[in-house]
Amino acid sequence: MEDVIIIGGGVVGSLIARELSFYEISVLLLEKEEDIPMGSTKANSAIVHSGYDPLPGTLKAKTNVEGNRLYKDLCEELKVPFKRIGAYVLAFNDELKTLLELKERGKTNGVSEIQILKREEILKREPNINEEVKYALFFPTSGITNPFLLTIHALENAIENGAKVKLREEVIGIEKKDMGYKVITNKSEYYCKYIINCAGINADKIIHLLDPDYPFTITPRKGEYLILDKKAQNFVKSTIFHVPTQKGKGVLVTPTVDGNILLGPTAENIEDREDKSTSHEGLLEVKEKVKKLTPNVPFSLVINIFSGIRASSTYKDFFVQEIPEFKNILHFAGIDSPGLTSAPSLAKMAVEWLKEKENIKRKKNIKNFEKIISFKELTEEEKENLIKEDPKWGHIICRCEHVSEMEVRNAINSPLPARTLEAIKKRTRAGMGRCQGAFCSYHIMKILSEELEIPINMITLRGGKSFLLNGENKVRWKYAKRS
Amino acid sequence: MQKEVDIVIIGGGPAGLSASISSAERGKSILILERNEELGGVLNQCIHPGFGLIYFKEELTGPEYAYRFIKEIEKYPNIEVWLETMVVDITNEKEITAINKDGIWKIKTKAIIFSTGCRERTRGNLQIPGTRPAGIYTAGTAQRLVNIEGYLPGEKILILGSGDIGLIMARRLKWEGAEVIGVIEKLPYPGGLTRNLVQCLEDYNIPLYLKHTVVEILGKDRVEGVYIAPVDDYGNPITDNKKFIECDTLLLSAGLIPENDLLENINIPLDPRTQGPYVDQYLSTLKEGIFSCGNSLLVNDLVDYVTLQGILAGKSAVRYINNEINIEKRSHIEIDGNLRLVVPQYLSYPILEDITFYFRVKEPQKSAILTLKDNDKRIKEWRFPVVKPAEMIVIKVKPEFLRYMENPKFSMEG
Ligand SMILES: Cc1cc2nc3c(=O)[nH]c(=O)nc-3n(C[C@H](O)[C@H](O)[C@H](O)COP(=O)(O)OP(=O)(O)OC[C@H]3O[C@@H](n4cnc5c(N)ncnc54)[C@H](O)[C@@H]3O)c2cc1C
Ligand SMILES: Cc1cc2nc3c(=O)[nH]c(=O)nc-3n(C[C@H](O)[C@H](O)[C@H](O)COP(=O)(O)OP(=O)(O)OC[C@H]3O[C@@H](n4cnc5c(N)ncnc54)[C@H](O)[C@@H]3O)c2cc1C
Repeated sequence: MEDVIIIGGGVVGSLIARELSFYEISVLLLEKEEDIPMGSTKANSAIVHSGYDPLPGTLKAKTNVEGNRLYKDLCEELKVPFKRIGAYVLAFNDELKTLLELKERGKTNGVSEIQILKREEILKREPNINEEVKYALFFPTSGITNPFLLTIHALENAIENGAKVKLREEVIGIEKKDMGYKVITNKSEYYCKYIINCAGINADKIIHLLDPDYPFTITPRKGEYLILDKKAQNFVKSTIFHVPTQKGKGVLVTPTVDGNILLGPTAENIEDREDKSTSHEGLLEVKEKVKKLTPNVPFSLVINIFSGIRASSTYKDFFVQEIPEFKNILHFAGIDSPGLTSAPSLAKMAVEWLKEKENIKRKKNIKNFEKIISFKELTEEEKENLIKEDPKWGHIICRCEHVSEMEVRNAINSPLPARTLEAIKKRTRAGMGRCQGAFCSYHIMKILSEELEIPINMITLRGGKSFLLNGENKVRWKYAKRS
Repeated sequence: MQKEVDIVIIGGGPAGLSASISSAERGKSILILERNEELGGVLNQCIHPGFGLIYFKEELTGPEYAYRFIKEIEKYPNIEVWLETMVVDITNEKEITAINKDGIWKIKTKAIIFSTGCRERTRGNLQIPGTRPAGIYTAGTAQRLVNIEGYLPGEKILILGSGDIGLIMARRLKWEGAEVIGVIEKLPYPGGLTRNLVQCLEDYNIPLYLKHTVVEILGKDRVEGVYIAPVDDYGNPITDNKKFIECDTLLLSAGLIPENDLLENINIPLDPRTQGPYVDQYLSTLKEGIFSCGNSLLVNDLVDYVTLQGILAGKSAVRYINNEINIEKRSHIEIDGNLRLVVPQYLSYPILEDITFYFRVKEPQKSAILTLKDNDKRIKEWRFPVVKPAEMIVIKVKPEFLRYMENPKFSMEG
């Protein structure tokens, strides 16, 4: 019997798991995929929004501004990159009125230091912005982060502090019992007192497991992106938005914490929740729209394209509630933008919720997150010392991102072991650079096979049946039977 | 840790190997830095024959070709080789930072030769929409998997791009028992050498679809198929006529990109046409004492030329160290007409020796005339029965035709 079961290992579930692991309670997180994060947290703009956009008084507005304030310390604790690079909202026509309204809204929400800028100043700061710009708002508190590392490190830190995680377990049923709930997965059953639903795009399905008629549905909305090589690094220094419309904040241009430039996203309602494909039309739309913001985008430097799915709902605001007939289950549903920004604040809400129900005590010894993250970022002396400790640190296997063999092995031998090529990529950046893994993927496949002691034809891109090598191997090696 | 040598060669493929020998012969201390476990570069995975017809006048496989040079360098005590050593940085003062299992190295040197080869264009570069399943490989990666690691990437294979590596892999995978559905090429003519078209596709009845491209990739976990569509004369796909092709693997053989990140870090100018550095006839970049050869200089179709470039770069580096290169004037070579690129792009005067020029054309052409002019003055002419984008044009020009030119220009007309 667990005290708390968390469903879903996105940024929300993982940060909640971490916060709860600091208390004298048992926590189990169930995630249906092979690794985390796999949902919205895996593919988004990675902006830590300042908070000008949500309507005042909403939970989105409150948690956005509070989340933004929590980011700096959180990222330091979890050794995740975070940069307050600021964001511009550009106005081209007679949108000055809209800008002023936005500024007011920002102020009401509690966003500090908002500046209003004129054309000359904007172009001086960001020469690649469209010359036709008239005015802009500048939000210095807006930032960028790495959502993969934030989620992974949060959950690893939770594990270090006693939380349990089960991957490849999809919650398919919940039953009310005398002492609490029975949670049924595709593999097993668990009992618990409290449930926290952080199932992202499927959060409504979890609600419907309890009450099929409950009036809450998620309408998946896709966003497509293009990503530019680090050679485009200085194209813009801050995040660039257009003034928001009914449909949201629109297409943006932003640096990433790793030095790439991100272009996107589109916003298209889709039927299939799993459909993460990109389309010719979508990519074209992104290109057309970013040209309006920054006309000289070096499209020849595109190194990757991808899409993410927002868990948008009919409810408009984040749905963070208990359903009356099903006490002790807290739902975090409809967590679309700015969910990444709000997540630290949402995690605190989960703790407060539990505190109201139960007298939970904080642990005396909380373990800090301590891990060597990026070899590349270390000083030369630190690198030398590591290589002396283990020469595998000195074997660079990803030529684009300069990731060492030891980093890959460490990612596999970590509290939340990387078991797939993509899991390695999220943790180390190996394969994320300009050659997109053409050079390092077979090295990593071999290391995975060796460390996990599984035949190489069982290694997958991201779990399931995404086998990297297909079919009978007629060349040399004996393959294991895959059932 | 510190180290000092006369010449550092970055990359131990055929370009770096021949450069090391030609500079070692002239009595300098040489250090080859190679990130792989073995010397030979991409040749190690090219187990097909077709190497060395020009240089050795016999047909060798890639590893055999490489082995001849690897054997040769063993004779030179003044060549040192560091394997599994990655060069991560260079400075304008020619200090190199390299990492290997012994530590971080700071290497001081008088001259650097870049022979870092090239990388392949990826799905992201090509911006092919669709899902992101397993089973999308560049042809070179697939070649490495099959020929060195011993793994077959898939069973039912479609190849996008008719570059040489794709053609070679079509045949190779067929031999290994995979079903090769065909090769898709966006342009109206093939990207690879004619001999590869004949020996790798025609001999095995593998179809080549010209003026077609892949417009969408399907499959959730593993590739389940792709949509291909014809393209119009401007290269835009006509998606109304798209057709589904079932396959579990998509190989990309759609171009190579010279690997020059380190040069870019210190702002050595690259030629947007070759994507290698601008060089003069010494294969010196625009930064004194830094030389370039092989596939990082320009994408070569034959390894023999790579070797010749390596020999020249090695010799030039020694001359540079001995102060034997005295440049009085320099002129930039322009190109025109059907020419897509030229190497070298600069002439440094005085010119004392024959110069080999490498060209590629934009489009196939019959009875083509290549002309060298200075301003409007015709200097010399060469005639070719046919020229093709896939086949490099190589000419050697004597110094007497290369007296000081203010505005040298090569052009190719019909
Ligand atoms: C295109 C796009 C751009 C965005 N840009 C930004 C931005 O710039 N800034 C910002 O603040 N926010 C942004 N967001 C929003 C942000 O990404 C999300 O709000 C946030 O990632 C949601 O996190 P989550 O943990 O709720 O959901 P998810 O990350 O989706 O995690 C849910 C997890 O639950 C698992 N799961 C689902 N069902 C089950 C089940 N039955 N059993 C077990 N596990 C299950 C899933 O596999 C998944 O891992 C963007 C979103 C998108 C899609
Ligand atoms: C599939 C294929 C088929 C071919 N078929 C033929 C054929 O039939 N006949 C023919 O004549 N030619 C053929 N070629 C062409 C020929 O093989 C190449 O032109 C030649 O190998 C290029 O030599 P290189 O030394 O410039 O580059 P490479 O062989 O690529 O060597 C570059 C070396 O530099 C190293 N390196 C790069 N960066 C660093 C760094 N930062 N630090 C340390 N080391 C580094 C790399 O590891 C590599 O070993 C073929 C090529 C390919 C890819």
